[in-house]
Amino acid sequence: MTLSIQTTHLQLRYCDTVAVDDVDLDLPGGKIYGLLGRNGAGKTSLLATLAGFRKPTAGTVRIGGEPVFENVRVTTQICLIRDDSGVGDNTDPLSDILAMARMLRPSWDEKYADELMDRFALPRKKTLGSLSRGQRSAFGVLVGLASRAPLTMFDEAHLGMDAPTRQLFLDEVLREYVARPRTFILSTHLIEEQSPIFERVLVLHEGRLLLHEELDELRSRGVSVTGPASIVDDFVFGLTVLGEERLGPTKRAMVYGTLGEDSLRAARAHGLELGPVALQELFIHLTGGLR
Amino acid sequence: MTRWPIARYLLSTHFIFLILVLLGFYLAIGVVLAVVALLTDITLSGVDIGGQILNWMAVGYGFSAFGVLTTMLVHGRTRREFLAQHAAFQVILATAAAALVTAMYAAETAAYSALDWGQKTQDDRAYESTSDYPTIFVAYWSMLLIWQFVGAFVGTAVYRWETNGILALLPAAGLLLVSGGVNSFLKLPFVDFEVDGLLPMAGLTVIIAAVTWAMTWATVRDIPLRTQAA
Repeated sequence: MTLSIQTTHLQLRYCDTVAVDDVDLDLPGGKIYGLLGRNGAGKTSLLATLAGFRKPTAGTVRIGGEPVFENVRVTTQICLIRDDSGVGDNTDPLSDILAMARMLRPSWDEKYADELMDRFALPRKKTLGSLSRGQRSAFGVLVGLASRAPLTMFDEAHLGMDAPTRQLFLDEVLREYVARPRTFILSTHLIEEQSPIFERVLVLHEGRLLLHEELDELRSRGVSVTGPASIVDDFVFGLTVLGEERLGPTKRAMVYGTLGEDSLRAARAHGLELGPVALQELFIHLTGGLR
Repeated sequence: MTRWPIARYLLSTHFIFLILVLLGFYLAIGVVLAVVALLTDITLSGVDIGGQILNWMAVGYGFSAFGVLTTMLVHGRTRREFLAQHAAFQVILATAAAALVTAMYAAETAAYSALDWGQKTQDDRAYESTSDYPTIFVAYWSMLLIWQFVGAFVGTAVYRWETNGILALLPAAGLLLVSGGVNSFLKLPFVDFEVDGLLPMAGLTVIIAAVTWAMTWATVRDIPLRTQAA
């Protein structure tokens, strides 16, 4: 089961600060969405309203066609795991928190939770508060995955995890998605590491939705050009260069925008190698560049 | 879907834990009494002295309600469910704890009688003696229920409004003072009324609890789930 997401003129304010401003979303269910944005862009606030953690100041949120706030039919089908997780009390052993989740979540999969406990090597008898930062994050991710909620969202849920655990997390999201399609949203700053599993990308900037595109479509907005440094410099002259890397005499430049037929012919004639641009470079450029 | 999942969760975990804590509390009182008896004559009811601490334990447990609320929201439950089911749990807990306390008075009366100890109660209690079990039960039920409810109100208010939530202490203090006239716990000199009879005591308890619950409802009904400091 998957759930679609619709928001209209969604706004969330904290006193004088507008965290989410007039966001219209129409996201079909059954996809993996990447939610990107700089610090303070409104990602956490957006996810909080989608999960019913916060009531919007204005506008509407509909999940699976129904309003979400205080609607138990919908909230039980949503799981939002944040970087602070909040899945249980710090004094509770992990086994007790799993037992609690089983009572509260209609779609909870106990067997899968047990498998994940082993896979993430988490100690059942230890309390949540005694875990390391990375272990707490892994436990939060476990709760999100084992909830089998048709809409599962992770908001920087990987914080503190080491690289192998982060990879395990991504592999598990993908494996779960293939085996039992549901709607996933991953909010992250680890763009290059996590973007390979995204199907669509949402970029928030200063509370507003800057773009919503298929990952491949977004990547086609730029080109990487690799070759001898002097030739690359001549080739990209006058174009919008997002970033450059140099290794000895070889240079790689990331260019924003698509290349015309003439440029493609010129690149081939000079032996330059063209490839996709790094999503992170595009993201930095689209959200205002380095500053 | 499981009916009343929050109440079931609380009954299967918190309830058992709290009853065990209460039993441990009275066991500790028994140990203290045994030690004191070696040094001097016992003239006071230990269970009754313990009653002066129970209200603070009740308000402290009630205060922790905001932690239960936030966890329930993370696991997909609603504020409305919490308001109904947590309150129902508090009623059950207060009833069970009051029954346990009454049983402790009965056990103590039997033990003191066998040992020929004096069993004087605190001044201004609602009950005439330590064997006035119906009044003991209702007075403790009233105190435990109201103090838990007030704790939950203040806890959720502080969670919601942070420093400004401390203002919730003003109505909370007012409710506790009024309840002092009902069940005679926290009986301050300027609370100049008393309730006679079990039914009026129970009825006023329900009214005070309902007022407190209404204030908790106003606090919780659209309470935002904040991001905690990592």
